[in-house]
Amino acid sequence: MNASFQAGIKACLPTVLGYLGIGFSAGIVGRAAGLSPLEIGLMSLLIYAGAAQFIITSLLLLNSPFSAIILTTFIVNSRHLLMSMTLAPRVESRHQLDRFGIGALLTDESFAVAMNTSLKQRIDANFMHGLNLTAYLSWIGSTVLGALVGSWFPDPERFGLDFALTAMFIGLLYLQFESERSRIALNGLLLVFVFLLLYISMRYLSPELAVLFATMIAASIGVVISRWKSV
Amino acid sequence: MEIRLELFVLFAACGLVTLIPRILPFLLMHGLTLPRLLTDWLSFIPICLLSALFFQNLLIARSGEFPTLSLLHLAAAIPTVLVAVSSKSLSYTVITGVLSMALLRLFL
Repeated sequence: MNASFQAGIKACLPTVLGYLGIGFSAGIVGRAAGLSPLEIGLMSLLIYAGAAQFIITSLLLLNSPFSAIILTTFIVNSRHLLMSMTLAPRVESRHQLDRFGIGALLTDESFAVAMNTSLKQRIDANFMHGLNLTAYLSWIGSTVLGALVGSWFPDPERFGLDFALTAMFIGLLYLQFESERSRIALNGLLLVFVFLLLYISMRYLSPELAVLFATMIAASIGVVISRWKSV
Repeated sequence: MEIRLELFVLFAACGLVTLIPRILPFLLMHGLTLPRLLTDWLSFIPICLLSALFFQNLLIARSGEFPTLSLLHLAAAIPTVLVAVSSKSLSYTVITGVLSMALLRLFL
């Protein structure tokens, strides 16, 4: 096995626990909404996006029209455009098919792990494939497992599994802070801006659009402040 | 066990609208030299996006009103942040988060 591919698998391992926790809950919730384990596996295989799958499941339960479900999925997952734009220039890849594969399996978590690694070393297509495939298989496996044994755990929230996602964001955010020590004060300030922007925009926008809005405006503020400081 | 055809179609459509924003930059931005302003802006995306996703998890949306802070989630986040900072380990952070939330739900 290619060394870089192995390094990708290794880089993914710390996040696997998070995928297992969230995927397991997603499987349980899907089962409770009347989806079969095969359908839940198919959803993970074709969509592969944690937050979106929870939302799709709840919309199915509400008998929402398919057009509304598809539109919501698009909005929830449009943040991947920002992540792909940020990561794409940092990955060395020669083949179009490699780039397709890397983009197709990008998640919040694999994005954060890849960005973190790219600040320390160069990353190539094989690294990304190792990272992404490990995450993809963990996700599909854990959602199907949750669906199969879900009836034994009628209430996954009681076990705190729903918080696995939040905890993972905390860990990934902290690691990103660590790897950008040179501008730690500015990043801290941006954190405050993100919170305020998110708080205000959640009054007017859906939570998913508010996340996009707060991210884009806060990143712009970051650019302005960093330019102004360096003048 | 079966797969309903209409769900297959729905999931495929949802998969497609998820795939497009994921792959477009990888297919289109390859080999381009991006303007400095854009690369600067993109360098702030990880911190801003991850913090926005974290904060969104702490806030409870209410339509037409400002969101409220979930004290339960905030309480579970505190030990989780402490373990993230002291251990620098994602696994320990996730375990702490899940255990904290489970304990809070047990006692509250």
